[in-house]
Amino acid sequence: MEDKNKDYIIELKDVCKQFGDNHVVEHFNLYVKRGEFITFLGPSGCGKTTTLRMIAGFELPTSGTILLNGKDISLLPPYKRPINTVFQRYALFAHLNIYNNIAFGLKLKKIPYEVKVVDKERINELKEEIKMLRDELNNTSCTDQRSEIDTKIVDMQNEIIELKKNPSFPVTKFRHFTKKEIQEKVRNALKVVDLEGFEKRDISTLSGGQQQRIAIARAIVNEPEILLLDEPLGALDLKMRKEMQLELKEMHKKIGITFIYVTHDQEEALTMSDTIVVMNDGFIQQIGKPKQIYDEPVNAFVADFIGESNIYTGTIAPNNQIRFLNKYWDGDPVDFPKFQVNEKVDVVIRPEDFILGLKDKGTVNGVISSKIFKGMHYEYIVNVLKAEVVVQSTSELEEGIEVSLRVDPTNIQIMKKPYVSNFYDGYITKDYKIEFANAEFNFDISLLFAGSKFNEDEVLVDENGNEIEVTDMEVNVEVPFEALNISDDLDASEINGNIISMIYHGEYYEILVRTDEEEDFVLNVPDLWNENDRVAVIVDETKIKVTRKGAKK
Amino acid sequence: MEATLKQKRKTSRFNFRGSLCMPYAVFMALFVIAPLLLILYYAFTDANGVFTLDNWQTVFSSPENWKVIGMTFVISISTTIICILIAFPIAKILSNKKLNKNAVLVYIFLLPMWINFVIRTIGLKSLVDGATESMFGYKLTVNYPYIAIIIGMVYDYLPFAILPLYNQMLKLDKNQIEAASDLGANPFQVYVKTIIPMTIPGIISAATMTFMPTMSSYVIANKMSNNTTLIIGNLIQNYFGTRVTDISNHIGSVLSLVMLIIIGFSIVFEKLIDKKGDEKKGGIW
Repeated sequence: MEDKNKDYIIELKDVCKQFGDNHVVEHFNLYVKRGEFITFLGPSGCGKTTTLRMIAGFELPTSGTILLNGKDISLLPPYKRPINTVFQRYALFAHLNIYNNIAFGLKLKKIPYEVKVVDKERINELKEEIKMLRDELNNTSCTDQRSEIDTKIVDMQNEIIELKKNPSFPVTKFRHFTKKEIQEKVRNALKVVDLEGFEKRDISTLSGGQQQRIAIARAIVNEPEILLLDEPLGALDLKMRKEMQLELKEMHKKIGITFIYVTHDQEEALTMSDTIVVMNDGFIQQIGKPKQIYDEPVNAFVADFIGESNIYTGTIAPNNQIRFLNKYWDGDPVDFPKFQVNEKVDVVIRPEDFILGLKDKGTVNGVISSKIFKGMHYEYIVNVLKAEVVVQSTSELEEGIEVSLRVDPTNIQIMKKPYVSNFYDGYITKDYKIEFANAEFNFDISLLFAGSKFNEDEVLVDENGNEIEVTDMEVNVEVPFEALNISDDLDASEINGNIISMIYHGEYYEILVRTDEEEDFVLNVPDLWNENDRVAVIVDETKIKVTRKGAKK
Repeated sequence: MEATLKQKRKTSRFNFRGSLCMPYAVFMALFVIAPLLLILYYAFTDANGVFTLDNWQTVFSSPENWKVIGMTFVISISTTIICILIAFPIAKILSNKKLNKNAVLVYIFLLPMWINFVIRTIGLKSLVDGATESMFGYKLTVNYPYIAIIIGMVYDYLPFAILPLYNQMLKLDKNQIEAASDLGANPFQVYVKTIIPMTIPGIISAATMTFMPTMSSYVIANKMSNNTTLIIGNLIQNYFGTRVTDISNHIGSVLSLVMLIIIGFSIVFEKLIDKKGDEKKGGIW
């Protein structure tokens, strides 16, 4: 167990972070191996930077622990952590030149060293003993004994002289680096980032890429155990960014320390990382090697975020088949044991995995509606009924012609739908309405109680005519996707929220709307909306399903 | 073709933007340059308008004047230092968005400036005297006029020190402060190594904004010392205001030139400290 723990340089255990009522990071569990290049990947606002800042110490977790080499550092201030950060906007000190920028951490650092001092304790002990022996000497008259004691005393005196001459007692002291050491280290750091001889220059004379390198040099010169990089290449242009990606990877190999990298650029993450942590909405979606995450995304979000994907809603059919795009497709048999026949699933197929063929030679036919030349290949959009299929192919085909599509069974990824319907806790109000998500809805309460009906006074009674007390009774509410619609007219409904995520499913978008009270609504809409749009959620009351909580008579 | 046309237009057309400077130039000539020339003229002439250096000799041969000039300098420097020491933490607090929502606190600190300067000073004098009389049994303005003058000046010029520092601190890069702490600086080192160096332009503005007016003001010294203690401003006022002799305004001119030179040197001195801060100047200058 001990040895196993030693492999992990940093461990995050059930870390949560809240800003006010806003849950930014939730139940974050991560174990990072020594020397690993790990990337937090996710859209903006997914909590990746906050997690990084908690590791650096700029934010303290609301709950959970962060262990560094097995020691709890959750509440340690940043300056006491052996961790350095490369900031997104470089954050170089404008009042210092390059040398002093890089030397900043070194000048503050105190390093332990061992010195040998005279062991005073032992000397005092010996002196004490000599005194005792002398007393003894005065009290004895036996010559033999006297000479014996005498030699003992002489030995001890010699030992004292020896101790005084050669200090041997080790003591740990702290010192600052000497100027020469600092110069040497700064020169080496500049060498690592390929900016030798820049010591005397001013920060303002550097280009963006050079400033970025100085920021990296300033961090690695302190020889941290972990280097944190917060979207360090975000401000560079594309070409520069590609170069720096490779250089960073190279640097990681050379220095051998653990890198924790934050980015929203999936390509960057795939290029550089040993391990990718895909995050969304404060939760870890998937942890894995780049190839694993690309080939086997665990859910539609990951598939959509990493690379291009076609995502459809499918139904599991018997004989290892899946039905989507109105056809039965052969799937990979190993995928099926997890699912039940007729279960609704998300189906993900990469554009390069579709195989175009002549009409009627594949699983489904479609019409090429657009063609874009992408250098290495053509990208086609094929219309299959109402759905769109994005296909990448090296062969050139004309727009408007009818083609067939097929997919190798192993390239069809099937995953559980994260949301199949919306479920809420609600209760019955005084006037026999259902309240949930801070809004009231009409529902025929008598359906919940067998044999009950409303009498002439509009009071709910059972078959014997006795009133049934239902006010504040808790109920389960299910709102299917079809019952929901959204509108940008915020007065259209009492429920207002922001669009948190949006995933294209070929024919429609699956949209997640979150209200200010943290209630989520998932729905499907045909049109494109924008993330973070404020919308009103319109609920079709006739489609709500309500059941009594825990009561199954 | 286009270029030549443009050039033609430039030379032939009346320069409208340049002409906007005209009122300012006239203003400067009338109210800054002309009076300066007049002071220069008076300082080097006698009552009959003949060139002489006697005025300078009169001023500098009097040990009384030396003492006044020296004391003025001491008072101004102490006021400036005290103002900055007080203003720095205040500005830091004001620039904290959490503590100072909507910058309301800034207005509260600047509010005293809305009250007439003289009334404020007289009010302060009664307050200070009242306090020391009840506590120690004497009036501060009578027993320790210099201390009273410094208190008055600090009180009156503190807002001028707070504003430029506050402006500078608003511009502080939070990332740089975090970077310092990330690199191992404890909170005290963060202050010494980043926050103070980064606010130097503001500190210099604040110093200039307090040093210059304290050098030339005389109302505060007058009120806070019951007209018993002179600083250079009072001296000049006396020479120009009372006109005891024919040449008193000539001597007053010499004194104002001396003051000008001291202020000029102080600005040069500040510029030397701030030689790096050209582009990222904060505050008011």
